[in-house]
Amino acid sequence: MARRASALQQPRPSRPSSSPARKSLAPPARKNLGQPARKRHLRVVPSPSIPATRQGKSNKTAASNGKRAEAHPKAASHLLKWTACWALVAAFVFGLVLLNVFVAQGSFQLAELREQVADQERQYRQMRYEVAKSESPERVAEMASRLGLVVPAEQEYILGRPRTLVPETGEPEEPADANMKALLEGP
Amino acid sequence: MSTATLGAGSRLIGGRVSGRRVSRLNRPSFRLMLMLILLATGLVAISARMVFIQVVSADRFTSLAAEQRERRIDLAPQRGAILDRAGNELAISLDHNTVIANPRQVPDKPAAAAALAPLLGASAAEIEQKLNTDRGFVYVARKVGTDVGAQVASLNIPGVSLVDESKRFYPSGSLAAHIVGFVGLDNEGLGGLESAHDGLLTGKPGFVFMERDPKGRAIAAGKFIERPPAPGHDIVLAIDREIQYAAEAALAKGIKDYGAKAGTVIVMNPENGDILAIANQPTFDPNSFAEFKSDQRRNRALVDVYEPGSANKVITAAAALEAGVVGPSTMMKVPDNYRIADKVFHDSHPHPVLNLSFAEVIQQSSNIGTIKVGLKLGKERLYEYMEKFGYGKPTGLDFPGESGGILPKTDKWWDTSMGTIPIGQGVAVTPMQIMGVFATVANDGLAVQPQLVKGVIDEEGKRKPAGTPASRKVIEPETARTLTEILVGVTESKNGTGKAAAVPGYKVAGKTGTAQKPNPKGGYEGYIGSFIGYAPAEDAKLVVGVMLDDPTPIWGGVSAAPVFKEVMQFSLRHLGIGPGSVLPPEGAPLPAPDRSGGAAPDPSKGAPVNPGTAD
Repeated sequence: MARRASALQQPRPSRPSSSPARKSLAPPARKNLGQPARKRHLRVVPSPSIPATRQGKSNKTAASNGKRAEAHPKAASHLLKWTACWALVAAFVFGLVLLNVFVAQGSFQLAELREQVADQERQYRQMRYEVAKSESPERVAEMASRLGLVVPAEQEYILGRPRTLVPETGEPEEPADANMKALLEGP
Repeated sequence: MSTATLGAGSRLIGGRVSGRRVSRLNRPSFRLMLMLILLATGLVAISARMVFIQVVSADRFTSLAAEQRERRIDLAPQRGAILDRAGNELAISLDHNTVIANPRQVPDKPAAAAALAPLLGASAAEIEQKLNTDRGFVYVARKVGTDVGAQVASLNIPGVSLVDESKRFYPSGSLAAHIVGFVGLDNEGLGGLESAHDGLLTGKPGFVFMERDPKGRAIAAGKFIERPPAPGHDIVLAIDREIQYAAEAALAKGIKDYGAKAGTVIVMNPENGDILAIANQPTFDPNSFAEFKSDQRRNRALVDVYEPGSANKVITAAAALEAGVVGPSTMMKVPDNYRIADKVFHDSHPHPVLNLSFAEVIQQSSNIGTIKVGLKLGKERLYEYMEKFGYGKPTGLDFPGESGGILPKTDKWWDTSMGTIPIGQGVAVTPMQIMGVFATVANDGLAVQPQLVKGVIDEEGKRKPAGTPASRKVIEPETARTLTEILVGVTESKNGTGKAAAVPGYKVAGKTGTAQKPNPKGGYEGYIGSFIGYAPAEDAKLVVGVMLDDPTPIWGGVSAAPVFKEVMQFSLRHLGIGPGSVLPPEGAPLPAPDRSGGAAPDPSKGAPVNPGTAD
């Protein structure tokens, strides 16, 4: 970004001034015959007309950018805008990652809860089965007989026309007839 | 270039100038070119591979990736429970684990078999045999408990894994086994209501489709489609668990006491057709149904047919009373034998010519008296009433294998049929059909279709009651009440054949039956002793039918009637049905408690005697 900023701030070098540099970069091949290729090709002739950024001096340029930005408020605001944009993008990406993390966590929690629900349902069914098994008439009859309980050989019924003995008013009502009353009161 | 131009001591060696040792690799242009070639080659190779992957084999790799990443898990629905009328479970499904294996992935089969054998209760050799196959999937053990499953999982044997399956359990064992039925290994209904309502009980399978990570967990932002399975409906039966148990226990005791081969007891509410119990002996345990013979798994009450014998006299009597052929007090001269066509029919025991009322004919179960009434009625009317009472067609319970019985058309009747059919030989019915006859009389002549299923409970827990059972009028209420009075005499009159069926404190109406069993080879062999009756006779709430196959003694009034009494007594007490639901009028003294045990006959309670005679 700094490079780009400096490129924008500095005036473009004019074409005529650059032509000597080109010449110096590409000397005639005949003159250099017999010399090491390294010297021939990698020798860089610095040119005062070429911007610093093109000469691999970006650090220095970047350092000078601040001063230049101060010098040019428009450029500084531009830099700020870019920085803010990048910060926003970074925040968005971070937020997205964070959201994804939360979703993932929620997903794992959901899976665990589903597992728990299935487990509880399994236990519930198992208990229903155990209860049904325990209440099985065969088992109850067996336990009852072990405890000495027997089915009554005789049973008696009270015949009558019982009215509501405790009406809604709370006042107990007299049984319908004397037989019923005697039966209810006992001997 | 020649050596001469380079001067003395100078010569080219391998592209280098000797002495100055100039390597080609030291030339930047060469190195750059080399790098360019290498990079270009690499790029070409990568591009070619990319084209191969992305274009040529795109489908294959897409499916491979999907196979690796995506997974569809089928979710089996939970089979609905079968409940009794009070909501007690008669059949329930529980989660179990099935141990499966990919034998190709099991590295050490003998070791794996040895480790699994003690947990699965099988021999190591047996398990090893299962693993020694080229197939990619085998069942090692199906439907083992979840605790066993956990132990198997803890072994971490490569290639061995678990899947969830549900297993059917019948917590009350053999209780109501013939009604409930049983299921196969894949939870498919194979018998009884499990089979009849399989579609309703099974539910609909679901699935989960997801993208998963290498550990098999769902990827949070990946595809996740879940369609939960719809569990099967619970079925609520009309069966009462306690009455069912009492019926089974009484039947088992009756079979033991009277040495019968088999037997059936049915308990029914005549007003709404609810079947409260169906007990059959021999029986079976649906938890291990495969260990029992098919003969033991047969629901005799609905599948077997038998000749009803004297119990059929109720239809003859109802038809005769309805048609006005006789009245309850119509007197008849009853000899002990009677010839029809070329056959002589006999009463159950020899006797002189008796002068009996029609009521007494029924109460004493006279064959000859009934045949004479049948002859006066005529075969067309007799056939018509048997059909109206439901003979010849299934009861509508929609039970698998239910029989409709055998009722031959009148044009197929033999000359002697009027000597056999009025007394219940020559026609065949299921125990349920004959129960329907008595339920109709008990319900003032209105036949209500029997009901085994009271309703269903859907997956949301909503109870949907079964519709009101169909009903049809068979005889007039007056006829039914007259017949009931006659039938009360069977248990209460001096010469009644069913006194052993009387329940202390209650008026019981019923009829004994001692029917010959047809022999498939021809003729008859053995007997079915039966008693079918209802109580309280004044306002019947329960009908109980008992049939014993080859009891000793053969008489239904001796062998089946005591079983009837036991079942009826328990059922009345259990349901809180008191005697004398019809109270005496206001001001009249209440009757004294009956302490006689119900066995003492009271002739005055019989039908009023009409001096008229049928003969």
